Amino acid sequence: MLPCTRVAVESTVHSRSGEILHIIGSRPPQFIVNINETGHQHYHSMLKVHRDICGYCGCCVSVCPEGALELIDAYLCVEKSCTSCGICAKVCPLGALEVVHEK
Amino acid sequence: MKNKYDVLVIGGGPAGAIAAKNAVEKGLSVCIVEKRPAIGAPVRCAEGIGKEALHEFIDPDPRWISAEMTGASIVAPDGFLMKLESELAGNKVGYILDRKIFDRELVWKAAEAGADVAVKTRASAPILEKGCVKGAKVECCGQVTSVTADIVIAADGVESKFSRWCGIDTTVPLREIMSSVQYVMADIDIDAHSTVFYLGNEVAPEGYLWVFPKGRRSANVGIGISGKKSGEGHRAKDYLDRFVKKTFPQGKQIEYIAGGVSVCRPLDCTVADGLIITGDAARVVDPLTGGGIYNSMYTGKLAADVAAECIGKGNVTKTALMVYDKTWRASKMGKAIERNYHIKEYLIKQPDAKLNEIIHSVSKLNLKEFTTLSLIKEIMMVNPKLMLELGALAASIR
Repeated sequence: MLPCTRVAVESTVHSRSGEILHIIGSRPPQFIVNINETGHQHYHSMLKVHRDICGYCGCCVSVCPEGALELIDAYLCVEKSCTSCGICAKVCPLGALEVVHEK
Repeated sequence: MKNKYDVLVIGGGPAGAIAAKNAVEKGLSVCIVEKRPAIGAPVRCAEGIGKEALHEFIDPDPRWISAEMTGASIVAPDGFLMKLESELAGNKVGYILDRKIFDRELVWKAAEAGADVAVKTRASAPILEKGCVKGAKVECCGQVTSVTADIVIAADGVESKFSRWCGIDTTVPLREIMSSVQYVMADIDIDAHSTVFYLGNEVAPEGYLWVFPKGRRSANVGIGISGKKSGEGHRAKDYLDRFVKKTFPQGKQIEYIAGGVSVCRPLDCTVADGLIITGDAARVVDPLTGGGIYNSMYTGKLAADVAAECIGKGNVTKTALMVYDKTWRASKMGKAIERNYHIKEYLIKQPDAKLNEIIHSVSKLNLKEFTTLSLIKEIMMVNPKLMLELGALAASIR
């Protein structure tokens, strides 16, 4: 599993097996991580930059509500405050950004 | 680069360069930091500017004028073409710049005047003292240094971060970012002296597509669509590629650049203690046309004037710097932004049929003044119904 980019854990619940589940993100859809053998789907979301497509234009930077993106010359940086909300992926003129849900 | 200046300018575009030059001329020590390794590239701009607007800041020079315009055309969603000409036929009404050379020229002028310039140097954090901006940490090739300044002028463009780090929310609403792509195309059949704007939901939803000549057979061909309308399979690039395939099937792309243009209202406040925000970073792009070169130069110059005055008086608090914010809002530019914002909001809500109707009402216009405002006035003259629809806004236009 890829490292989680989110920092804010919104709430926690207990699974049937007694394991603690972290529900993260303030915007729908929410994703549940760290759960096992409970029948739940094991989702984990993060922003993926397709660097071969990215035109390093900064369009995404201007719309990020968390200020989590920064364009450093020809490199788009994603900071930990990213909530994988997907606004940047929608706005990208080239389709270089994708919110991926890892199982 | 020294470690102390009167003014530190972040960004080497038109706003930053004009700000730096004017600040130096007022006797201040100035440094421009530009994160990219070269000034002027990549050009995320359609590169058009009105004749009067340009002359206010710099005399045109053939080295950075790609083409001179004598007219413009607007193509309605149904393909109908409306021609706009100057009342004096053949009169120059605007220029298409070569921004790579233009931006360099502006920075050269600032450097010649005495400003320091550092490229491939990024402001990575503000230096804050009791909430007041006192300079920035700057990074070059992995080396971080602290540069203090009485005033920082943030001219860091659409992807601006500096003012955000200082606590100012600069987020552009999704529906008010123009998701954009442009090609410089060669070997295409165009009218070399007229810009063309294509409108319509099928062509460029809530935006427009432009063909701005850059030579006899070459043009900057680009598009901006609302971020709200962008998504997988229907992105700015998809729309532009469809247009290019149909209109210039034999054309060759010699440049391919993406970008974003804000068409929202300007920031609620464009100053803070020790900080002035200019140009695209202040979101002062014209919301109707997406044009930002003039507005950047205007706010850049004003920022320098206010900086010089406030530093001279030894007071760089937000209250003192508010003169900048108030002055640009009350200026012709500020009023045009406010008015054009409302016109844009009206236009993006109109269905294609309505746009067709408006554009059909005038097939050829000879404008006394070649401005967006005079175009809108003329259109309203022949569409009295429009005046009713626009309500209070119409009064402000007349």
